Amino acid sequence: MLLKSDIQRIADLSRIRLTEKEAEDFANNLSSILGYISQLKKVESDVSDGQLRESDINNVWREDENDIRELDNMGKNLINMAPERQGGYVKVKKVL
Amino acid sequence: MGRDFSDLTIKEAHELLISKDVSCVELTRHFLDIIQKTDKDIHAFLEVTEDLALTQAKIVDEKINKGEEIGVLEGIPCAIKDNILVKDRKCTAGSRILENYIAPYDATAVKKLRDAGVVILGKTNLDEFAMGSSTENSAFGPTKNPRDLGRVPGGSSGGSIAAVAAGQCLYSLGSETGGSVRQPAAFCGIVGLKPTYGSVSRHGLIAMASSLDVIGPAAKTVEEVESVFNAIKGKDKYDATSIDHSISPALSGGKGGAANLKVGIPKEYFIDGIEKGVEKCVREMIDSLRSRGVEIKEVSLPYTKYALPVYYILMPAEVSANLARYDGIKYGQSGIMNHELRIMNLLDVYFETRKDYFGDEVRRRIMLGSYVLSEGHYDDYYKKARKVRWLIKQDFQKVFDKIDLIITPTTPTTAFKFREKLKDPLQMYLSDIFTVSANIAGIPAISVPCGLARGLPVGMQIMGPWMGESKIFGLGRVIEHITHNT
Repeated sequence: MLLKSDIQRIADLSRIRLTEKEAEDFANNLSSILGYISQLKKVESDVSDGQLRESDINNVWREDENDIRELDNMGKNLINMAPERQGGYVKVKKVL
Repeated sequence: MGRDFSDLTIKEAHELLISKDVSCVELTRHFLDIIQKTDKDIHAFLEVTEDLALTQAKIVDEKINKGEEIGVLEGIPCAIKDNILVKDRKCTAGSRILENYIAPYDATAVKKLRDAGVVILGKTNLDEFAMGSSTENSAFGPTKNPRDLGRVPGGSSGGSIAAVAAGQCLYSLGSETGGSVRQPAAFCGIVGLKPTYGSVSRHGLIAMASSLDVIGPAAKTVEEVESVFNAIKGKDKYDATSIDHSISPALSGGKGGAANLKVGIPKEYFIDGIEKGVEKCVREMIDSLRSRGVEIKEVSLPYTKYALPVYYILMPAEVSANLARYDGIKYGQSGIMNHELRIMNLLDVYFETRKDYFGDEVRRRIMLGSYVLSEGHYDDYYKKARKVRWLIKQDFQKVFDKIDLIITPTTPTTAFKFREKLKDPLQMYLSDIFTVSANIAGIPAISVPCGLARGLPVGMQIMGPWMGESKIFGLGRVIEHITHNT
């Protein structure tokens, strides 16, 4: 069902690089899994989009004020975890 | 000297501590010794936090010596699954991509345990990013089932559960997305709870599928699991999906409460393909309950057979989004560090990082997720799965209008052997067939040991209505009582 070229496209979307052999193996696995989950296509459901929105999504609000929980070193600690950094910044390759 | 504290319950250990029969340091050292002796065979732990545990134990001893009162969980040694953040300690999620990651903060559940005086023995093994049902997908080697070292403990919380079953700690925290606490609890013969979605904060739990994830406690008995659940539950402003969990006192404590219960047996869960010994154990327990005055009714959950396909669409979709953050830029391992690679641009950083440091199952699920969310497939798969999810929830709503609790086997088989299900991922996925519905619907569910089949533990699952943990604990205690007296 899924071709190696389909897998390559999906892997690209997922930012994952595969070898030829891996692409073939994943194509087989994923085809069989897709075969299994495709049984859902047959299910009749008159659930409306509105009902879905209602059941899943609840906006949670808070006051627009700073959270001062343990903030002293949190920022520095987080930046220090980046593999490449400079000054107080995370360093990345050129984006544009 | 050399007393065996592994068979103690939390309450019994608490009594020993407050009567100064044993010091917290002595109790802690006992478990550290057991881990040292047994973990080379079992491999439940990825890291033993000896210094942390002893520091915490000393603080508890100081309190006791000063005559201060201590809480029931204070000084009780536990283990924490390695996808739950413990500040300043490594947190790997069982993956090479986080093998050098140090948690910058505590998970809320851990913070609550610290406030309750926890002693943390270490971080336990798991399938990589909680993806798996056997702990064989850990990047750091599998964990073995303490009841039979040739078999898997289950997964993904295999390490947490094995640690309790092996007497290496008195309780542990695991996490669930599709059954990852209940299934190993069934395989290893202990009690494992999946709380109502939102009742325990997910802040500090490394995200797998955000609409399904929940932290769950495991211990030898229902009462212990209940006391840990009560300590970690609660609305948390750092988790917008967390809820206020009010327990109705109706059925907590005592075995007398069971007489008024209406329990449903869903016909869709007693299918061909269940191991004969498992079915026998569960049916015998149902008969015992009936003879004790529990009303047993057959019920129907018609959308049950779609639960696993729904799960294997929604979960990978959310996984593909949640694991996008592992890009080698902000933390964790990175392709940038490998100077032999020709990292030319930003895209290369992503590709090289994710190629080398993610295992097969993780990449499989990310790609499955990308596929079901992609143009041309979104409506057929993801949107459809969300609609069927709604229908599955409705199944439970209708049934819980008429009955209090649902009983099923936790798993279709007892613990399988290593490598038995590795060739075909779909075979592995099928071991979660009875547990995933509770995650999809967000309802609470527990696995309680209910006997043996060919010498291996069998778990019985009790599912309850949203926020119905107290009813579940009530029936769980009855089942325990029956098992111990048979």
